[in-house]
Amino acid sequence: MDLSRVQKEIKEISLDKASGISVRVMGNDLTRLQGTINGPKDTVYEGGVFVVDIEIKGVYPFEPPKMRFKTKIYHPNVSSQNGAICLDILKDQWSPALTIKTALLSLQALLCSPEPNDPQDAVVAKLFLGDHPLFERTARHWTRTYATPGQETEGLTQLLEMGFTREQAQEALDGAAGDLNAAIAALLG
Amino acid sequence: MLSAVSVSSGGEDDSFDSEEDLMFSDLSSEEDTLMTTEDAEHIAGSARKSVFECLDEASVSRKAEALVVQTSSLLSLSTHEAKALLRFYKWDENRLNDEWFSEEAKVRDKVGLLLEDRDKASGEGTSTSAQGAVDPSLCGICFENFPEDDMFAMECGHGFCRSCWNSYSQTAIDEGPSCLQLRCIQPSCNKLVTEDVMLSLVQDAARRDKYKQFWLRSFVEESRKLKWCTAPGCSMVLKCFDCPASDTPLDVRCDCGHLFCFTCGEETHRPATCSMREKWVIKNSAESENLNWILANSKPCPKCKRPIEKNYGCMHMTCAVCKHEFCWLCLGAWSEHGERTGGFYSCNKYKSKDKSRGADRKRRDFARASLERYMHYFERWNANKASCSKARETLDRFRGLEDLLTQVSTNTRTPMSQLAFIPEACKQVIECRKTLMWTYTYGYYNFDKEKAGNMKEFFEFLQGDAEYSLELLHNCVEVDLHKFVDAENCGDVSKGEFNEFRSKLTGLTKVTRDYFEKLVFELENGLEEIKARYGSV
Repeated sequence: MDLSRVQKEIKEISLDKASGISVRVMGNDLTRLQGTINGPKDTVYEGGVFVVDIEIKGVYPFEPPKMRFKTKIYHPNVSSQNGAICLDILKDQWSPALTIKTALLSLQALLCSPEPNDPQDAVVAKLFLGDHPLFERTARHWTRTYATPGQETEGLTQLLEMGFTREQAQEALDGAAGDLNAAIAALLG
Repeated sequence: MLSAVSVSSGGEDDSFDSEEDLMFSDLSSEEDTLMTTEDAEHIAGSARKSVFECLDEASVSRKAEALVVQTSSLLSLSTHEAKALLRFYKWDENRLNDEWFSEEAKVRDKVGLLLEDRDKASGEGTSTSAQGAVDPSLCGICFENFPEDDMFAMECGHGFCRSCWNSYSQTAIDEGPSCLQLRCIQPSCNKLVTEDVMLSLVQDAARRDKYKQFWLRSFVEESRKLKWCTAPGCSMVLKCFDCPASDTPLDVRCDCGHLFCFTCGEETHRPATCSMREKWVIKNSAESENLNWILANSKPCPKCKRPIEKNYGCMHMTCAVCKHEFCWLCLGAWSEHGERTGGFYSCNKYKSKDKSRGADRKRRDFARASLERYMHYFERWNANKASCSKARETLDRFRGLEDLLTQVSTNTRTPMSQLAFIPEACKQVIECRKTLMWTYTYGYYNFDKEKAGNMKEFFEFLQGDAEYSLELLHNCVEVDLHKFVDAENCGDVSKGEFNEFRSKLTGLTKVTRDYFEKLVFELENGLEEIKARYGSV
């Protein structure tokens, strides 16, 4: 894999504070990243911070990175069960000239303008088209419940309760790719 | 031998006709290719003459190249561009020419070739690169700076480093035949990566071969006139000069000996059409026919629920399994049947039941009738299929370990070269069994109740005639022949007796072949004519 490209991409994203996206490295190689997208203003996702799991395979950038919403989100193009995303540039429309940043920005744009006619989650899409007010209420509720900062890292709260500092806890969790038990083992070991 | 000859005659389509006779006569002079000659004659008899040829991969490549060169000079384009255009139009040069000369710009856009106008192309290129990477030495993929020599761009001007171009092309080849229509790396750019660019980028020999193979496959699989031989492991290509209509079968024989239908790629099935064959095969494999049979012919025992078939006798049934006695008509216990219910043999309970039972019986009757009809055709289809494979076994015994032909040759003191008529007869049997098999499918689909009548009688008359002469031939080649195989046990056979056998078998072979040709011809072409002539009778 082209490690230097991924490093540069991460550096570039960290320099950009305005776009409302960020990326963190999970574990000790560059194959697993975690991106965050701020819910766009004037949408039902406003105020939420959505975590996206990113997997970078060896053929990157000649094949797309694998992306999945880790935070539960109520959106016609995202599975409400497992966070799988239906977006053309993450599949056959991928081009090596695109980057993780452009992909995350496309996801942000997808939050602004859902495509209910090409859905990933048929139930959500049906509600979106059939009973839009109810869709909006549900989506807002999900944003509040699952995507409001502080609530999405249950593991972190638990580690804080165990008496670790926030920095320690976050580092351990990141090192263990979010696995709480592995993080505890690392902190105690 | 045959392949070498047909390849050399395959240079131009029109030259083939004149050379064909030469090809066959050439072969018949060879002792060791006697069998092949027969095959060729069979084809000449059963399929229309000079409708196809057999090519090896090298000559297919040459044909593809010739077409590309011809197109490139006609449209004054590079051969790589011509190749891409031809592929897009499924190698149909006429369609390509029509569309090219009426709206070139649109075609170029669809296929991904830039306009020849260099100024416009480069202008477009600089404008896009101005939006994207400002620095022309920076590769937009790996984000490294490179000296000018290490950067590469197609006519569209989108520059990336050679190493990224290389990985891009290799990944595309690994993904499969879609690499033939690979576009520029720049997401908004529609420029096609043509063959010359691809081969200049990819150095890996295995991938280069794979890429070239994709082109050949595209040529064979997308041209309507070409088909791979369907025999496993055979890489020959059959070319049909005049493609039949979509559902019209066309028998072709590859030089490897494999015989198949060009139209659908399945085993030969004339006179049944391709769609009939497909429907028939699905029907035969469908479980529904079994269920239909059970529905039509059996009822479950009211006590133990096992299906029971009633094939004779009165309505008083005794289940063979649980010994329960019941009435077949009303399925009530027999003990309740007596004077009260109108006597043992007129079960009025049945009549008093509501109408749904009547409808149920009607459905059963219908299912039984249609099933019986299907069984009639299927049994005969299947019997001929079995005979066909038996005859194949016989044919193998002539050549293989048992080498029956040599035995006959010794016993009758006849040189092997004069015994070719025996395997020929056997091959005729195989061919005819196959045809006969599919006439039943033909009959099943063509003569249901409405269309029946004298057409059906005529069909059955022809079929019966052909079948009769085939039975004679089959008997002669399998039974009569044994006299000469087992001659050691029965003492010597006279020369005269063998000559008699020879003329009988040769005669039967010819008569049978004629009958079957007539049958297939009538079924495929004549029925309409006959309908017009006698339809009103």
